[in-house]
Amino acid sequence: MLVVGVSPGRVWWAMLERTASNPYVFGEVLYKATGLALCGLAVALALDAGLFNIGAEGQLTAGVLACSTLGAALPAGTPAIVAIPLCLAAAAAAGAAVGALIGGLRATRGAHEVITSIMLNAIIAGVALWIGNELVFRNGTTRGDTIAPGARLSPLGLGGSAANASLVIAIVAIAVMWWLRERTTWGRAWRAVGQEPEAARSVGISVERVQTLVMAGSGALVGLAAANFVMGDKHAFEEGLGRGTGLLGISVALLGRTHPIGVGVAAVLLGFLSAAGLEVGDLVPKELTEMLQGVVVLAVAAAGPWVASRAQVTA
Amino acid sequence: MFALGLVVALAGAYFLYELRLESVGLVADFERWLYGGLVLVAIGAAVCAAGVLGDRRWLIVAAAAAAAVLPIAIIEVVWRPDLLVGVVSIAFVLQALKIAIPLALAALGGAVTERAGVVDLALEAKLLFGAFTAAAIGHWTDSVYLGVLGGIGAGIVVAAVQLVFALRLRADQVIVGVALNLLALGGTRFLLQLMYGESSNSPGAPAFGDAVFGNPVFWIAVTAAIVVPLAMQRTRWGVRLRAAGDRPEALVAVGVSPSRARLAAGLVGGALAGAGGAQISLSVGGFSADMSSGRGYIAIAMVILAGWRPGWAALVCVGIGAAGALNIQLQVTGSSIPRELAPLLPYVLTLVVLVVAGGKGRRPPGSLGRI
Repeated sequence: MLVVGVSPGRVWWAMLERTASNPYVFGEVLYKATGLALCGLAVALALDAGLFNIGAEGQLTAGVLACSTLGAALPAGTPAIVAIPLCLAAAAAAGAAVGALIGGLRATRGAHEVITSIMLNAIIAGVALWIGNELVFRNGTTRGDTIAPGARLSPLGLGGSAANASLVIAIVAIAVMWWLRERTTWGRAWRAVGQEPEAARSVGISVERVQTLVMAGSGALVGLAAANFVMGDKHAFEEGLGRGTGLLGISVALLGRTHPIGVGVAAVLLGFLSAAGLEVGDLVPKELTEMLQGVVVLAVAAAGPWVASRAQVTA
Repeated sequence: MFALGLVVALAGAYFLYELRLESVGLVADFERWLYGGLVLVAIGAAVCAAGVLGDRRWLIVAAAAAAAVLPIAIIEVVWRPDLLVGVVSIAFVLQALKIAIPLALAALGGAVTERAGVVDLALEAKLLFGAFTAAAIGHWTDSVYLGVLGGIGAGIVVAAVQLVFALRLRADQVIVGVALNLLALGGTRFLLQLMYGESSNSPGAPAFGDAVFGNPVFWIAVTAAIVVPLAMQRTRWGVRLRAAGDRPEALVAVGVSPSRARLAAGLVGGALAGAGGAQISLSVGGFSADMSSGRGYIAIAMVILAGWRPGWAALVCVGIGAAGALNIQLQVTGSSIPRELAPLLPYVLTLVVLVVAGGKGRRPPGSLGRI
């Protein structure tokens, strides 16, 4: 920021102040945080089980495609009580299918999940574009038919921002993931598989099954993030919708130390950086605030171990 | 196994032998015979090798060769025999190499860094900053060579930042990689804005154009593909970097710092990936935002696929290049495969190879990511 001659303090202050005082900015922060929290939870779940889900990007696209296609296919008069669960289920199922494929290949064939994820990201992006061009996009645009009104998640009414009811989904997901992870034998099983797969196997846990199920669950969470974009905001399939959220989800999961509540906090932090960063465009170029996200993630990543080592010295 | 391979290879050889009839006009479609013969010889040789050496990895090679060729042959030859004329041409090979250069360099760099025990998800950042710096310096000095040097320098700088965070500050290596990729995406756009007043394209830089043999980066890639695997086996640098990756405590025991070995490895890795970045921008004579378009991620997948062996990783990338060139060929000749799907061929193949061969062969370096 010094390069463009604006004091960093002033920019940070402006970002904070505009978020606090302007409901639109506040809402945009929440909107971004919703998607990031769900993707972060997904990556965290996989990491807990010792798997690196770098495929959230592809699972997100699959979720967006499934959710918007079903939403557009529903008759216009479908009541919300039917349409919303159906579309959420479609998004989650599509994400889960991709996740289960990755997990299943890892479990049965030993195929490294990082390679299969990256390959599937590329494949799904291409296939989605193809399906879009062939079937969905209207009149040379990169946007498909609008989904049925009943399938829309209502906006939270924060100054016309995109924040919507899927924020509730994200909060519930955080709570459920916390409960599963800390309080149930399932959570114990998947963390045992992550930490000591051989020990887990010897106490009768099927490592292969856990890996497949965890990746399916991870994909389902990503699919719900897709619902945030489709049902809460754009109401249609758009080329590149939500792109980048899956990769940022990795940072969110790791910054939150894979703990669901930590993930929530990290999601708000990164959501703040990307949404509020756009709102200080009058002070600094928006490219700078894009860059800032990387800088902050780096700084937080380095700060953790540093604080830990200090704590050891003083103890 | 050996006998089976021999039969296939002999059949291929017979195809090639029949080519002598071409001069008297008995074989009409020369290219098809040549192509089929070469492929059969290759598959047969690989199967033979599997039998003789008792090493199942050669079967993977055979499966890959078959998988790469058969579906295309079946789908395309039925409708478009003329396509093969393009495939066996010199231009096709050059095109494949050209596509493979940045991928292979990034994969070589990634293999070196990861073998030393540092997770290298920052390849994308190295490619992107390398591409930007090469274009900027190329534009400023009007020299391709200085541009390439700039790209290499940028790769080294990104690697240095990555290693400071990973080794010195002990930050999580995966986060550092992802963060640097983010930083590169925003940072190159910011620098474009700052230096040239627009955020998507740089002004023109000197370009290699379609030249392959006249392209310095090509020779860097070829040299690296030969020298890096050798250096890893034979030199002190290589032995230390492998020890740092597999048994850092052994290095400590002989009084060598694993961190220093990792630094020595990582900076070389950064230089290689940076050179790959230079190829991306200088081949078209300019930088545009996000022009690495995920190639860093593909490269790291290829490193894992190749079992962290640099030479193999580079070779696999040449395979991806061949698939890319085939795709261009399909576009030129007109094809029944939709244009959105054709570029996915290498990724589908990678999945097929993984599923057929399984990924259980090679283990990652022992201390990867655990510094």
